[in-house]
Amino acid sequence: MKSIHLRNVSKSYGATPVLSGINLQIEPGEFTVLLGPSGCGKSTLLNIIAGLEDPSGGQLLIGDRDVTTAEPADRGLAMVFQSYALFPTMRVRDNLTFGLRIDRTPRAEIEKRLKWVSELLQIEKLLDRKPGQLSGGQRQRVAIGRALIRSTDVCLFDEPLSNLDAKLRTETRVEIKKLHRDLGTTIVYVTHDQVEAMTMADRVAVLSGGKVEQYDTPQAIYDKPMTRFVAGFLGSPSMNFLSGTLVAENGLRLVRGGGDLDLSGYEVTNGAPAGEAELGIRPEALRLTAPGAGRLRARVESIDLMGADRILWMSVDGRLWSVRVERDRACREGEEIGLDFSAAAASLFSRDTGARL
Amino acid sequence: MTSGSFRSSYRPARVAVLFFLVVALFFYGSLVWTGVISMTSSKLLPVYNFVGFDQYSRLWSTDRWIVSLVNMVIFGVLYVVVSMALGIFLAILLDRNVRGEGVFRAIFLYPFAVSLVVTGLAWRWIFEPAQGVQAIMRGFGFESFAFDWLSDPERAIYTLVIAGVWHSVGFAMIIVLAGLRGIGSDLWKAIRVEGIPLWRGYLQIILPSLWPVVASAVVLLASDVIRAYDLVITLTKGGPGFASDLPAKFAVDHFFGRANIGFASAASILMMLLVVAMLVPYFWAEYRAQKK
Amino acid sequence: MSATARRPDIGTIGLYAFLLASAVFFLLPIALVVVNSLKPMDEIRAGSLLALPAAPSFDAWRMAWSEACSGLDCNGISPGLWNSVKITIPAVIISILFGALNGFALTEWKSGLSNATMFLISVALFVPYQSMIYPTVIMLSRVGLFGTYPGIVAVHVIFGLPFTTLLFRNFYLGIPGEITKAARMEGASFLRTFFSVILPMSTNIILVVAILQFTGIWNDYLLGLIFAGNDNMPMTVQLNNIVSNTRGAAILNVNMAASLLTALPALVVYFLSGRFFVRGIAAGAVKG
Repeated sequence: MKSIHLRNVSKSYGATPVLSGINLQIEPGEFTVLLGPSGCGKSTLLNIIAGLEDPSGGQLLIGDRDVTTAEPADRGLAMVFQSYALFPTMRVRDNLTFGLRIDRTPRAEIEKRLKWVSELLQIEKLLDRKPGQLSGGQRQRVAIGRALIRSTDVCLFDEPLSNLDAKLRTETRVEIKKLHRDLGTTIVYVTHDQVEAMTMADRVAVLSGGKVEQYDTPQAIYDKPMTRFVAGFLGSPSMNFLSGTLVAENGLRLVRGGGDLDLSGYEVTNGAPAGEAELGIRPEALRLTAPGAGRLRARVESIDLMGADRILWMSVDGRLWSVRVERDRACREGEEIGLDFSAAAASLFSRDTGARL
Repeated sequence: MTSGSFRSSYRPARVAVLFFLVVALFFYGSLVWTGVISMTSSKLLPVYNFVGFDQYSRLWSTDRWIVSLVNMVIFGVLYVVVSMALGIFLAILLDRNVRGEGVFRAIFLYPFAVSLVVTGLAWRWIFEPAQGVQAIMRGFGFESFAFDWLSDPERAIYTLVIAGVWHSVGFAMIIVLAGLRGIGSDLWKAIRVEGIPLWRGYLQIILPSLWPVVASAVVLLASDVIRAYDLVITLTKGGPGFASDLPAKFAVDHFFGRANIGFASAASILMMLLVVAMLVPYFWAEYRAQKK
Repeated sequence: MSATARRPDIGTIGLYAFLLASAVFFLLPIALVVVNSLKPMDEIRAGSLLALPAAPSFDAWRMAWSEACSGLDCNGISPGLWNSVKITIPAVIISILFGALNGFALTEWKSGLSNATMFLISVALFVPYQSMIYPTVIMLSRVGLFGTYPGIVAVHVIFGLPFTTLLFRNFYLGIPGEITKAARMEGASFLRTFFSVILPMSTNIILVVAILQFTGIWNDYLLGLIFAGNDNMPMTVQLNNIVSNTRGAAILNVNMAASLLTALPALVVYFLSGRFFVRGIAAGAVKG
């Protein structure tokens, strides 16, 4: 298994920058998800790692080797594509073994690996079919098989589940995770789906506007987002925000129109917080209280039943907030209510830079 | 890892550049060379004593060249307009759920698969007074019926138009038909719901939405006009005299028959300029359409 | 359209009348040639072109095939048929291979230069042959190919290159880019990707181009006239020589039979190919 090291990688098309100053150190055997909205540059980054696109600047190392200018085939990696990209005129068998045949692998070895991979993915019965005769899920398995059969050190996935229906997507997700655990391959996986990122990754790199916003474990990214963008992008419903001015005298306070908000107990990340800021609180970090009892006043606007729990939508300072409550909690639309939270579970971001305070 | 020509090298640019060099040499290289020669006094063989634009000014004082240009305009306009009009009309008719559409389509299009040589010959036999239309009509009892366009300097050019149209209507029709079939049923539903009469629907809604298709068909037909050689050679031979000559034949005759290379080159260059004049608005319109 | 209104109205009658009249216009010229090629010469002189043959005979066809004279040779048009076959078939195959390769290369070559190249190739499509012929004669003479069999094949391939390239490129633009990326990831070179993955996917467009190139090259006159040389003269050129043979009176029925023999192979391809021919024309119309 090999590490992947991106040093200051950038990419621009003409005058349009797509990626700038990307630094990532992906450890051997690690499952890294590149997560971001469409147009954030995540697929470009994956293509650069694959060698299908050349970076405009920076350096890429796989293992100890500088592969910045190496041909894709010489980087020792395999890739699974969004559209599966199976070769339509070849049987499944030939699709799987295409790369091995190009490498002039001995026939016995090819047969051995074909057997191994088709058993692993349970596609033995499909070997003599053409891709056109397969279902979406089967094609997906073949595409994964084609990537695994060469036993490369690194495997790249480009939104591999986005063409599957919801049920199959969940199943395949579990399966890819299991394959990773069994084979230990270093995986870089691109997706815009935060559930995939949260459930599969060892570490997630959140990208926005061609930059890495944060690279950390899913839990850390969720609990302690380092930028305002990450805070807003992850979580469903997303984090609730409130703006005001931070004052540090007599304990940390957020000064705003509706009165001061006491934030003592907040763990400061960077320096001495002051000035214009945004407070962020996750829906599940809010507690309902009697009106006037909590630090915030709110009015219930609507209620979403989610089955296991309920989401209350309420207006706070003229903004729409969401609060996750257990399903038995009685309340009705139009009700005036109080909200409280622990400052330790909240996040503060600078209004200017968007960085966590 | 091994490395050979079938491994690890993915360089489409090399292949593309190699082929482009061939195209550049034969197409653009030829144009440049012809341009150079058109400035010389070359006769039987290319020589490089430059005479400026003498060949061009000679062309403009050569009756046969002027006639061939005028003919090209007459032939070109009529050929393109009639082929398109008839092609569009037939396409619309065939698009009306006609029975035996496949048969009609095959009949209208087959002349396009017949060579211009055979097209020219077939129509010559029809136009020839000795056994053609004139003889047929006289056979029916119209003793004084006269139809002799082939030997009429004023009318010979129109025989080319008829034969050319016969050859190419199907082509125009197929292109327009493909366009019509590409129109979504929503547009038709809208036309019906709005109660727009059929002919207005075609004229003001459907055809305008097909303009890119029509434009490319027009450009292709127009490029036939400039290249038209086979048809003239077999149908009228440019005659009577040079009354139905076209620039395409003029140039070939002077290159090979009359061994007047400089002169012929000047004619070819003017032909290319005509093509450019025709293509520039087309490409410009395409470019504008793509920008939107 | 509605099943209840079965009685044909005036419009429908007019529609079919016009279609039938058009069909007559398109069929008549060739029909006349067919009918008269089956008559003996006296019958043509005596009657009208419209009259059906009293006793249809293939004498004129036989004459056209093996006895008709062009210049001093009286071998009919059959040598031309063989020449056309041996010119057309390799030229079509090579055109397809080169056009596909170049079209694919231009699709895969992602760069502004690639677009510029494609633009110049599209414009080349419209360069009049008249301004290319003489320089090409000189170039081929230099390498000893002018008036030879390889020479005429090469001319057809090269002159057809912009057209075939364009058709293939338009087709390849529709193939998802991930397919070639996948092949690259598997370690396939450009040529390996082309031959193992792309070419097998191209059957439809290959048929289209094959049909268009076949009819185009088979029906060519000008290039054959100038580049083929006396030993390889294609059928169209030989036909025109036979028909314009000025020695003696025109033998109309033989000339007509010779024309039909010349037209036949392309027509057979046309009628057999059906939708591919139509598709090819539609595909060729999206030039530029």
